Amino acid sequence: MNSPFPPVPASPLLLNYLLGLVFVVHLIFMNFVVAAPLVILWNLITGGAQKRFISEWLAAVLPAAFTFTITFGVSSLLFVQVLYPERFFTANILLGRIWLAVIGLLMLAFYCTYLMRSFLRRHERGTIPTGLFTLVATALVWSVAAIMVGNYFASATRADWPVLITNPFRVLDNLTFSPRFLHYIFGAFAVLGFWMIWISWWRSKRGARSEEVTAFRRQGLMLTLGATGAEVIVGVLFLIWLPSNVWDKLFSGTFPGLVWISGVATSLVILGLLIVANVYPDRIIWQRTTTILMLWTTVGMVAGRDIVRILAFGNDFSIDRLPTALQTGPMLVFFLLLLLGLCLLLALVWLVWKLPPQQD
Amino acid sequence: MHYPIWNMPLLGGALVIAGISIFHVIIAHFAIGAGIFNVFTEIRARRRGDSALLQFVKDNSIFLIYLAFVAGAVSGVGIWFTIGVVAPEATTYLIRLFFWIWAIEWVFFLLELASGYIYYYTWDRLSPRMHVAVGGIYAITAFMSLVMINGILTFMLTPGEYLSSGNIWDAWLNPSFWPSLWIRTVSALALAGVFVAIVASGRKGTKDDPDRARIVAWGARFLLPLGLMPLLAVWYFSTIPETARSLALGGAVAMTFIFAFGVIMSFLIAVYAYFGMLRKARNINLETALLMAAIAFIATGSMEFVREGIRKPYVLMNIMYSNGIQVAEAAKLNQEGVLANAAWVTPDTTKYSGDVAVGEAVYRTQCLRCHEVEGYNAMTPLVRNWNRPLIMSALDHLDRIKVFMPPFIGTQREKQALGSYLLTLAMPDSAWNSTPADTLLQSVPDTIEIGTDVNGGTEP
Repeated sequence: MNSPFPPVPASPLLLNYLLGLVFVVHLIFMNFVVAAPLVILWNLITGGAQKRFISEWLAAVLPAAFTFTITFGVSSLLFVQVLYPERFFTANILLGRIWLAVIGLLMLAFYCTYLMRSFLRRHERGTIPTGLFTLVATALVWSVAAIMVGNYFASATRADWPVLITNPFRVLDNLTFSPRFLHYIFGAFAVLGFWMIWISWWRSKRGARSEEVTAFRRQGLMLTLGATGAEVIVGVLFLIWLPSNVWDKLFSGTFPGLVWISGVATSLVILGLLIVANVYPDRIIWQRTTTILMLWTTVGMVAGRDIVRILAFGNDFSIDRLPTALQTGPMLVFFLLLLLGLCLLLALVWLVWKLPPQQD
Repeated sequence: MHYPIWNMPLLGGALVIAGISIFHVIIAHFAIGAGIFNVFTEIRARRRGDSALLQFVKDNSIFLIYLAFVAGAVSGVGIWFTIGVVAPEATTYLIRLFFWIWAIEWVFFLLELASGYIYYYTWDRLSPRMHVAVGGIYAITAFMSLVMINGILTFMLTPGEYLSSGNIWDAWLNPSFWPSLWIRTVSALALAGVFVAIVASGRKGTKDDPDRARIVAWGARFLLPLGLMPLLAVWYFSTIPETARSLALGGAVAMTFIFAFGVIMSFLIAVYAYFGMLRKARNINLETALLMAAIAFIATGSMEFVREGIRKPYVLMNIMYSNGIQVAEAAKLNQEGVLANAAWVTPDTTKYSGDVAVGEAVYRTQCLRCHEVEGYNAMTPLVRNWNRPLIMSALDHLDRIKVFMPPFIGTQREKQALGSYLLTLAMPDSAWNSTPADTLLQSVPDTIEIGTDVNGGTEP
């Protein structure tokens, strides 16, 4: 039914690019949140007192990473809602209480990370309560990840809606659910490895002991290598299990084909470079190169995700057909404030950067 | 109409939105008030060399992070999720209209979080002047995010000139923008003052600390603006539509009581803060602080509840009814029928037959958003023992019998069918559920029973 909803207040193409941009930032923080609790737990169980610092260093970053995951998730949500309301809201409603459960799961997981960090700081606390909260946080965050994957499927596959309205759990029937979820999880560990490389670099600048810095970096490098390898395998499985109509279209056009081929090629190059970086863990050049390539791959993955979404929508929906009426004034105010805000943010980061190391 | 209809058995979607919104509003207002409190208090403590007060601000800043940055941020996302599920049409409308306003709010939110973290983590590490500046950035950006959101919230009740101009600035700077902003600012400061009492009295080892009463007394100053609440309420009510005003001022008894409760409680807290906490500097214990917080929360929740309630029968005043049907669509739907235009609703012939099946489908499009079959604000007790003429009369004059109800929208055939379905709720023990609809309609008595409340309905 045609209805008088207000038009989209800017070019949908511009909004889609902005969505991609904020989503990449969201992913970088989110991957840390998804993978870090399990690595903390692993080090607590296997590392003993010698590797406790690894858990502590990761736990110190976790709450802020959680906050910025949510902040950039909110901005992504804003773009999705303005561009794809019919798909997104319908998917939310079909998942219903499962979707709304995300609120409680996130809140509990967030508080678990604070408790975990607090226990790790107080050395008198034993490993069991810390480990317990870490385990719970992992379970909660991974549940949210699974629901997000389910929501993506529900919004992309209109043909499944009649089934989902009777039973939202049927979203699990989708053959690509498991590989996509695993891809999500392995990707998180791969990105966490990069975080660990750069946290070690930051810690070394702040006067941390060199053997701790090296151990932390080595673990990050190993984690990235292993997870990237697993991600490539799962990624191939995911592509194989895509619906035939999407698969056919995915590689038919020149541009989508190039995006996918360059994505896979970059992943393989990263794998090779990571092996080199693992052989020479003290040579920062390899870490820099692989990090830049990883960021490029993440951008490519977000673009790929967008292409899959467009193809899955088919002729039913296209953002090009959305009614548009530019709100010039508010848009200019936004970009002006964004510019000023980013300058202020950089100034704040600079302020912290220049501080002497904390003594505690 | 445009989306599937989600329902929450027993509670209803509206109550889910109300619960999450009120929870979020309290924390978000605290986050704003605490930012202003922390900066002013830090300046005062440093100027006077008051180390106890300075330590308190430090404790308050971590409390702010634990509460506002976690529960506040996540429940803010929760509101997005909930309104998208319960009222997707209204959310679509608001997002499309206020997209850039929300985007601007996000910039402030980002700065608020970054500066909030830095403020806490750089205690004793930054120079005092710089630390206060970071706190100032937090306070200003948190307040600005309130300013941005306030315009969207007030638009829902007072769209003002936007209805004729279609201009975004008319929509945002609408008639109730300023009084609402003042009310929210006063609430934010008051909640900061309430939490000062909680944090000050909840800290370990401060029971007999003489500094405690002094800190609580300082916090009480932030509660004093609550005394302005009755005047601000008068200002606010002078800007809202007559229909909404009348609902709060006697038109809907529950609304009137809740509104009066909110204003009186706010005023009484201000009186207590002035005489008990400031003038006599009473040493408040944690229990008293929590009791005061509970009253303040209920007062804040009451005002939010009233703000939502007096908008009825609209979710967006004069634009969209609370069941998601746009006013501009009504004429078309009256002609073509709601079911012909509701992609997601089809009669459930596995449970019902004939007209009752059609009526149940109409019920889902028009009533279910606010009225579950059973539970909170449910339909069954509202129509219990009604007979067909009474039901049809109510459907014919729905918006006149109760001003907070939208009119029935749809064809006469759909109205008759809805009447048939409501009759099965009105007299559930009869065999009518399984009786073919045509037979059912012929067998219904057409007399109105004495003692039946013709105005039967519910408060918004």
